Amino acid sequence: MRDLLSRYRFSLLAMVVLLASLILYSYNIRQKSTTTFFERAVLSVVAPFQLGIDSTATAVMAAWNDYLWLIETRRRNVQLETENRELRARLELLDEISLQNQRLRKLLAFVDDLDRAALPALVIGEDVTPWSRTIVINKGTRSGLRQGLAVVASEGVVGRVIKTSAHSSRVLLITDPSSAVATLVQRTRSRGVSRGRGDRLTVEYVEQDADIQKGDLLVTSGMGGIFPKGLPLGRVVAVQQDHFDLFQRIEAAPSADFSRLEEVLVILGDDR
Amino acid sequence: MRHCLVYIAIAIVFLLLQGTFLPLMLTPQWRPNIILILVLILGVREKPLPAMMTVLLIGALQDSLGGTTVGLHISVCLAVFILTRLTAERLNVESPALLVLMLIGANLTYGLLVAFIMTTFAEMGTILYLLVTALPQQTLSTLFVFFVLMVLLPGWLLSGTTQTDKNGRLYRGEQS
Repeated sequence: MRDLLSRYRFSLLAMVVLLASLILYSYNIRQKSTTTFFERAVLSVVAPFQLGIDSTATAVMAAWNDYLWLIETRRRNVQLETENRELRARLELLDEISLQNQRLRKLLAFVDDLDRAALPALVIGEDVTPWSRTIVINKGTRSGLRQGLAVVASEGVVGRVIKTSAHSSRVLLITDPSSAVATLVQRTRSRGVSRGRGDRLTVEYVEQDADIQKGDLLVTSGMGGIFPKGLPLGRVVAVQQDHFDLFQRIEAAPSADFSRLEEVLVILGDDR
Repeated sequence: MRHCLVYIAIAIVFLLLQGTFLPLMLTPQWRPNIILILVLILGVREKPLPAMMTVLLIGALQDSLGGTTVGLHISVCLAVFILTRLTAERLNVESPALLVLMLIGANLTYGLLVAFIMTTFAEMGTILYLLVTALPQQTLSTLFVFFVLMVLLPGWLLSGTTQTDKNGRLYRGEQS
């Protein structure tokens, strides 16, 4: 018997300990609300180490994640930047559409006032020489354009079509030196001819005794058959009267801002 | 022939730049006359006849994209080309400084010829005002573009400049 016990001592001990632990477990299941002395002691001893290790590990992980292992951050950053760019582009597009909408609304209001058929066109190019003032628009003969048609913007007269191709046309601006437009001073109805002078207009053949003042609005007189009567051309900025001259020297600023021209209207046909 | 096509292609690119991109950044007075650089280069380094035909085509292209009447830029480009040719035969055009001076001269000549033709044939006196105000700025901006091209493409602008003798044959440097 003693030999048997000594022979299977370890196995028997292991079974006893296992049984004891199961009994302890079973007992503790019933007594789960209480903390044993052992548990308290272990918790008390381990807690500072746990805290220390946890703090160190957190710090190391934070350093690793924040300063060393930045692949994920970089990926996220790239993703956010891309997203940001896309959102900005969409925002800018919306702004642009909104501004275009405003400009087109003004043009449409202008067409309603004009009471004539008009075709909107985009400005796609400018003159290649610095001394001529022409623009290229994206509508041509296929859209019904022909030479001599008047071109306007919401602010006033732009010019007239001088060259046409199937899908584009060239427009001579009223500020070109070769442009001449029959003009009326709106307030006094005095007549003259507005000639282009680069950025300004000079009004010729206005009689000496005509009452012209700075700020007077110049409109088309309708003579010549190209521009309808009453379209704004510009405002008088300087008047010079010399008693030895037959006519006054008048300088005017065009109503339309040619440096910011994007959309124009080509006036087609006669009055509705 | 191949050279001419290359020049025409470059001229088209330059004209598109002048008509679309440059107006977005520069006022008309400050827009360079880049085509003039091409005319100058054609005048100093290409064979006379093909170069002249190319200049005619370039002038026609310019007339199609600028101004009001076809013929103005053809005439002016051709006149500047002939003057450049005549001058180049008497000068050492391989010198960059001389090329710069020639460009200034060509720019002023170009402007004056435009003014002369427009006032004489089209009776447009107001063009003088535009030209006088635009010519100095335009000369400066053209020079700037020329310098940029000299930095970017020195081989194209400087080396290989040739002249022709009285028989129209090309030679480089001193004529023996």
